[in-house]
Amino acid sequence: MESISKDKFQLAEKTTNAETIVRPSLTYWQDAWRRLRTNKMAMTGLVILILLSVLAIFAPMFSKFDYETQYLKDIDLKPSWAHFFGTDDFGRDLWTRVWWGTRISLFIGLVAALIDLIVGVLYGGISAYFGGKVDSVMQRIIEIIYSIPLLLLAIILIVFLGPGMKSIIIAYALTGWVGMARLVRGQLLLVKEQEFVLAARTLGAKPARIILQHLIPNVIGLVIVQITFIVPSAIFFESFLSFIGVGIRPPMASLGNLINDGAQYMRYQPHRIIFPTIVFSLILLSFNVLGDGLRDALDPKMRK
Amino acid sequence: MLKYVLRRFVYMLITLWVIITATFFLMKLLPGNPFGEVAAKLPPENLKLLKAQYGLDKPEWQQYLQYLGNVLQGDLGVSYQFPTRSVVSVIKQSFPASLELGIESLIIAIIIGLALGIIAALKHGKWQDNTAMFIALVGIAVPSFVIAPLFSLYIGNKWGILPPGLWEGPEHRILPAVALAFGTIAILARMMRASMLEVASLDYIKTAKSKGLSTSKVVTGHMFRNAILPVVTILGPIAVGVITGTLVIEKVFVIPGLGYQFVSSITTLDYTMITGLTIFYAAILIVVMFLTDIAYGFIDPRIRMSGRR
Repeated sequence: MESISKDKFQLAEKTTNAETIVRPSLTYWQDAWRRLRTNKMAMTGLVILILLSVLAIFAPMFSKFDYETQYLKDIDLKPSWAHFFGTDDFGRDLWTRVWWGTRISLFIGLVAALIDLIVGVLYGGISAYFGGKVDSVMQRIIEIIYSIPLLLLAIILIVFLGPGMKSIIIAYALTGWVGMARLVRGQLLLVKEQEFVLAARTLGAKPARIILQHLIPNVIGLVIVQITFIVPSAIFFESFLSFIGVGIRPPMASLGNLINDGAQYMRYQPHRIIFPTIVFSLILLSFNVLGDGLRDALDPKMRK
Repeated sequence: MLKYVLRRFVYMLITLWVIITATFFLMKLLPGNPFGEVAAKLPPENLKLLKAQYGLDKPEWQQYLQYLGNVLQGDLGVSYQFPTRSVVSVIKQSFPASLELGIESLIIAIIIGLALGIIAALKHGKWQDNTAMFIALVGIAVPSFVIAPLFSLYIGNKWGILPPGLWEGPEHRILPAVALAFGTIAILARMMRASMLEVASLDYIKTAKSKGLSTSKVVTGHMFRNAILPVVTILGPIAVGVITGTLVIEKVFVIPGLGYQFVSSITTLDYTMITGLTIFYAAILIVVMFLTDIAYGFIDPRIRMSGRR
């Protein structure tokens, strides 16, 4: 048997990375973003929302006019280069007013969502965490609040507290959090009983770790989706109130009172209702498609 | 089942009580005295007499009990602006128009909404699906307070096809009912489509198809009956939406209904009218919610077993 010279052999290179065949593991958020990005509708909604927010923030700043000064020489102008959206019957520039209104409407939506988020998550979380009698009492309270018609309560509150942004937000917050609380509680109860939580507990994980690592990540997706539906519903709520006369009062602008004003003049000056309605509808539509997209992207059960 | 109905009934009573109590204390929060400007000029003795006549000299808890008693007996007070009109007489006079509008719109919404949803699901991914879902999106994004004035202006005034307002013959019913139905159509169509698509992938549909049933039989006999279940569960909120929607529609089309009265009482700050009508609306909405809750309990035994939605 012929002997083989040693120089024909070579030491294999040592790899530290033995499992390169496994794809890089993605975090929950990377994974969700990857899925959301492929959803054309949802991405369009997201882009439109960003655009509208940018306009709402910057358009009034760079406009030559402000939302309340009346130029009585320039009343009822059609859209032109000086006034992109025309002017109203007091000569106020509608371009500025529409973006101011968007700002106010978005602000109301976001604050309402924030309050719902804080109150709803705390209430639902406490209810689910303690369970038993606490849960049962807290749920009875929720069932009663849930059946109080939100709109009526809001109307009487605003009539008696006086109209304005604060009253609208209070009225919405008083009953709006219930949906969020129910959602959070339901999901927490479901997750709490699942095997991976039991496994974590058996392995000696402390309650703080279980809450932070297992419970919150499983609820947060649903909460975010819910927020994308709360914001437009609060914006719609304000507009509805404006239309029946208890919303934001002029000279302050909101999409609701601009649409309401526009409806009265639509016969001769259609531009007065067209522009605020387009912005309003785009906001509602974008939040809705984004919410649908997020629900698909964030739902762990959809993961393959 | 009886236990479930009873519990729902108790909740309904508590909710009503909460609303009545809330309106009472809000009334108490109002600044000024309830007799207006005139009372300031009255001598103190007369004011005292006046207060005694309305029971305002009693402690607040007695006033509260009396108010509660009055409401329970169906006495919602007298208008603040027109002392000759009682709230109940206004309700009797104007509620029928609102009720009719609401029911007509609900019927239109259910027929069109379900039809759109079923067509969209059966033609999943084709142009019929896209068209139906586009209509649904418009219904969500364009609120009734834009659609209604548009209808009134174009179909009513400019093209003159249907009357732009008022509430007389049957031709006056069509525009307001359709305008009110728009948003509901959108919700129902989307929900019905999703529900139909879910049912369509289930095994018993495959079985039904493979044993040679015609498409129409599969759809009516198997898919529709099962797909409608989740849709029924949102009928309560939908009815609530339609009832509140009448506020806008009646204002736009100048319909002499309760919604119109409510909105104008808000503009004139007719406080007793506002609270009285609020209690009446709340009672209707709560009863509607109660009835739909009971209805789901009958339709879907799983709900009454768990006791809550």
